[in-house]
Amino acid sequence: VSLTESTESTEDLGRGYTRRLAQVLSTPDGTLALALLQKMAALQQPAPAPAPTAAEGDTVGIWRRTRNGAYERRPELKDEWHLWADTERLPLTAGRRRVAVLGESAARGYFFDPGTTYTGLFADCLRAVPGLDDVDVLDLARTSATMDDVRRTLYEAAALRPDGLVVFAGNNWYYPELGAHDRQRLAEAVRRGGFAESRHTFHAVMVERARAFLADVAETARTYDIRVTLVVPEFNLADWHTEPCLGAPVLPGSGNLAWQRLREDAEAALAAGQAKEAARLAGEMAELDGGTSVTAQRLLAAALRDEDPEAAERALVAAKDAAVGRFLPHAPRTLTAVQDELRAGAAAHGFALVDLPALLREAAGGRAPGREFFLDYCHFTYEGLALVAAGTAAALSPLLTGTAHSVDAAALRATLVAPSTERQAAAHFLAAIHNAHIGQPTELVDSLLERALTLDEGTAHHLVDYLDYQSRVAPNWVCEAFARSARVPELARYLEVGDPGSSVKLADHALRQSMLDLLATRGLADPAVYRERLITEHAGPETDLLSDANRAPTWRESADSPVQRHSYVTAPDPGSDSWLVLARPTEVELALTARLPEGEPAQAEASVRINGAEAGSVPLGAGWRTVRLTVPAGLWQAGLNHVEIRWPLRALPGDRLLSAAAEALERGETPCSLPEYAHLYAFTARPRTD
Amino acid sequence: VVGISAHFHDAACAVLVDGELVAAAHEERFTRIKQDPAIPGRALRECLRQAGLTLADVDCVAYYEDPVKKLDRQLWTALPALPDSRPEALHRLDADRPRREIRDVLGYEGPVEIVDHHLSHAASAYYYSGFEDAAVLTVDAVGEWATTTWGRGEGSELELVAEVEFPHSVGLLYSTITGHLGFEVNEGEYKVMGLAPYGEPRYADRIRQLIEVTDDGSFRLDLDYFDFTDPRTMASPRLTELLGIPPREPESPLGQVHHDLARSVQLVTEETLLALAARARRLVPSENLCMAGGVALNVVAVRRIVEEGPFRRVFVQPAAGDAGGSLGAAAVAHRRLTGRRPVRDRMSSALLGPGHSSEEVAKTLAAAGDRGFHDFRGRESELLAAVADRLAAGKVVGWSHGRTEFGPRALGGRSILADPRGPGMRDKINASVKMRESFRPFAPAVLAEKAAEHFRIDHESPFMLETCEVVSPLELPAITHVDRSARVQTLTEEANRRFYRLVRAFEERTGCPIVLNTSFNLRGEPIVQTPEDALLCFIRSAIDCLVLEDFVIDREDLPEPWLTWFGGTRPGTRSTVSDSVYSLL
Repeated sequence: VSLTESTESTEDLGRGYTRRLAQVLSTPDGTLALALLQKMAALQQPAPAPAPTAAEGDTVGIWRRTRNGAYERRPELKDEWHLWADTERLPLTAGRRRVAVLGESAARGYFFDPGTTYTGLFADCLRAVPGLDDVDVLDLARTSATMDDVRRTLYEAAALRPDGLVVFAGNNWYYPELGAHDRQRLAEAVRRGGFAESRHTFHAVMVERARAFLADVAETARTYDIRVTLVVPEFNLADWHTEPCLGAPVLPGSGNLAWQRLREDAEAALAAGQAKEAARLAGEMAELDGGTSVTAQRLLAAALRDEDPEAAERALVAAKDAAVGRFLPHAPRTLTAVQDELRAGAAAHGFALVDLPALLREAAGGRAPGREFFLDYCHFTYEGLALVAAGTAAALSPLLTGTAHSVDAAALRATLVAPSTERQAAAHFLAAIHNAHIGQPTELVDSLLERALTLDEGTAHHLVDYLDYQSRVAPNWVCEAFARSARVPELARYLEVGDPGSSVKLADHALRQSMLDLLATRGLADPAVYRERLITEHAGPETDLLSDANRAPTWRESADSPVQRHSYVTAPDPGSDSWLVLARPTEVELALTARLPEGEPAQAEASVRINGAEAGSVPLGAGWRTVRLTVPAGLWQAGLNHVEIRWPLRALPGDRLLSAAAEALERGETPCSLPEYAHLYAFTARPRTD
Repeated sequence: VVGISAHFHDAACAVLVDGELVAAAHEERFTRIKQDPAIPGRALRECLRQAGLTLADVDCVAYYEDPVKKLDRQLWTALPALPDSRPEALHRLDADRPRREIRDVLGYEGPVEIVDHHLSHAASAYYYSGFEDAAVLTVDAVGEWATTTWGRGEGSELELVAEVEFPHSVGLLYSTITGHLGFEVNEGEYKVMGLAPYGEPRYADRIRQLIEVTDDGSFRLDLDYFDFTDPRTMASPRLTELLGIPPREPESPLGQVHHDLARSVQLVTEETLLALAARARRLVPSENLCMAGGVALNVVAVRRIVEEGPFRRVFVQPAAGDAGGSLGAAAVAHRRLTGRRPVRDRMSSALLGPGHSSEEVAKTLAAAGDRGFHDFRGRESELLAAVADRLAAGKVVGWSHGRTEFGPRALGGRSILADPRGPGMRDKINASVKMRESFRPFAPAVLAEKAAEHFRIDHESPFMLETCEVVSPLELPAITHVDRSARVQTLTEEANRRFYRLVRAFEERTGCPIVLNTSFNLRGEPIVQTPEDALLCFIRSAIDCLVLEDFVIDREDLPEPWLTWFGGTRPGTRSTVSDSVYSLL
């Protein structure tokens, strides 16, 4: 039939075709087909014009050039001020040389900022170098800076014609902005070999980005004749433990069930002192998850620590890298491959290099660096800051002095004056909160709090205030105790006063208990008074056990976390915890609306424990159902109670979940990479009132 | 039955229990993202919680438009490109998304009813009108294909009997001129309507060249003047030639020419809507008219239909925009499932969102320490006296009480209130409280029994959906527009309770039974929802006094740190919806 035979108009014919096409393409596969066609067509379109490589504008970061030539803070960016150096004006003195420092929170001196900063210490070191007393140091590091942020600041800073440039960035290069074609590559990798395979693609993308960034730095440096020093970041390999939600991702077949069982056995073996057996089991876990699990690598490292320290350290490095590429938020870190790229880039472009992995290992006596240099995953203790600052000054100095004489970093470091014990104590206090909110073990949190109080007993006031505002239902910024804490500049920065969104109320009861215990032993707090506040604020006729304040001890588990991307709560581990405050022990009716995600068996029971004691079990199935459990008064106590649900361990349909993840990537969405053991829509507690 | 509107702009949900509307909420009020189009997971949780339900109790989810028909229109619009591969179109051709997200994001795996976009609008008006029969007129920018429909409602039956299809659209015409005038499309239409009375309809004849209203009461756009496929504009170059007025840069000064253009498009829109209403009467010989769709929020045009149109009674859905589609979709699904008409009675209140108890507020404020905040728990008359005193003294009051409003209007749940008599009140609130354009008028809330003494209105207007002439013996400059019109909300004790009693207390002090009532938010942010939202808006603006349930906070009692941290700051103006063009994706 000739197309021209139709008597219908072209418009009517077009309507007919699009109507039928829409019907055909309205299925899940239709959506994917349309997305693929769109992406293929985009390949034919011209690439967007490259961004300008240098900005000759009148702004640098949060500062803008005024009529008199000074760069002053922009009032309209007040919300951002706390992320940058706490200075009204950039120190630009005519006739003096300039060094600009670009970087992220590690380069700000997070926890010490603004009182003590990496850049400040670096500037002090530089001043101690003969011939460099005419150098101004511009602190352009920004907390939470992405690679693009640093690049933008680089271009803006070029307009200030610096003589030297320090680039200390990379910790935030772990989750790049993914374009449509990147996602397609990742989708194909997931189909080929699950998240273990896509992780390699993800890492390759990150290395490509790092290489391009270094090329941009080099081009800018050439254009403006700037001497560059590159700092390779390092991670707290020894003492940064597994974070929540970083067990194994969805594995092919029914791999997750086998992996969970291996994990239980490995942990039991390790606890029993059977290191060899634990190492064998952890090795099996790693084989099963293809290196995607921090848990397996940390277990392996722990099991090998005494027997084979070198293998243990390789496992620590593998644990660091395992988190990256899981499509999940996690603590910042620099991939080993990116660290290598930074080293190679420095050599290729002629940058001076400060290799922190080497520097910190040397300072640690050849061991993997840990808590002696780090307050968390990548932010430094004062000792760490001083070491890095001196190392940077030693690396850059010859470029500025134009001499071949090397500068002794240790000597520069010796010139530094340590911050007050009060400030160091505050940093440890903040680090304790930070560690707790990313799911680090109580032992680590306790040690930071202990150290804070040892350094300065006056820090106790901050703990008291924290217990006050964090235990209230009011947003933190509303609380009088929060305002008291915010008078200390370092605390104000960390607590992000002025950002109401930072007032997430978490169920960080372990942290609070640690604080309470430490204060109580010093006679500075009465646990009974704290318990009464909890009761006043939280005990009521009905408690929502899924609210952040009653369920989420870490940011990762809070409702706003990218991990929780549904309007119900998912359980990525076989156990879920909630906390309930009661005015007195009484019978409590728990009502749980939950379901079991796809898996075998379809029906199973979940067990409920109250304060560690069995309280009963509830039947669950594939559809939502509301089940009620009446828990007798004898299992409860006045004040805080721990409610634990143990979900049934089931075989998940790994292949189907991986296929769904690949499709999500093709649709431009973030895939679900975590196994799900249960879905919870509602979980409430009603104490009997008579 | 849960009704969902989402994936375009202003996502919302509504919950019907046994055919009665128990809750409805906008997603933006929870996420604080203006016009948030994401599937309304948070709003749904909250609506179910209010109803004492969980997802396990839901029998059906109704979605407010047919994604297959929408995809058809999207594919056709981009022709000859197939598919549309512009960057902004990537992943937007996704007819599976509603069902997928209802299943994966909301977690609902039961039956899903798909309801056509304009049927959702029609149902949101008819089923909630209380009429036993009615003609129904829906007018918006675009749904799937339809942009305007005429329908017939009779008992539990509702059917659409005629329609105008995209690209011919009154809404798109109005939005195109809104964009030409430099205002945000899909938001700034209110501004054009507010600007219109300052102008003369000098360009009306040129606007009439853009739209041909046919003898049978339908219409067509002259497509030479439009380009709905260009992501940067909605107009073709010929529009500027025709008008002889260049597009105005956003935020640049407004001149008489802009006033006149606004007046012209408003006039032509009114004429067109009158013609459409006349056709509705010819198609459906009822004495009642129900209206919905974004264009039904043009209160000036609605007033003309009420006054000049062929119907004795007119009901406009207070959430006439797409958010209200959730109400209609839920109603249609209920009808399909049960065969019975949902919602027997006329919708009497738009206060359908969540509320916060006085005890909750008490705990929040107690955390601030002893600040001299006034606690009137258990003493409502004293509370109202204290607030009325402040209003009478010329104070601007932020008022947060009870459940939040569904729809774009603040109706006494989350309102900024003031004395309408002061000569500088309008400028004060526009400039330093709402931080918006100076020409924009404010609306009055008046005791219903006193309304006729001050406004030419002979019926209740509980939802602020029509304008009328101000005939008050009082000088009311803050709520009287330049053409002596006002967009009135009438209050009854039965429907408005504490808000009504507040205005009565104000009247006792001043002899004025009217207060200025505007939405409690700053420019660019959604209306406040929680006590925290209200506190932040209060601190950031120049509001003199905040009423949070039973508590009164005067500005001078605000803790210094709060002012230091938030004074002079603005809420993040996050929006994922384009405001430069009306997205057809």
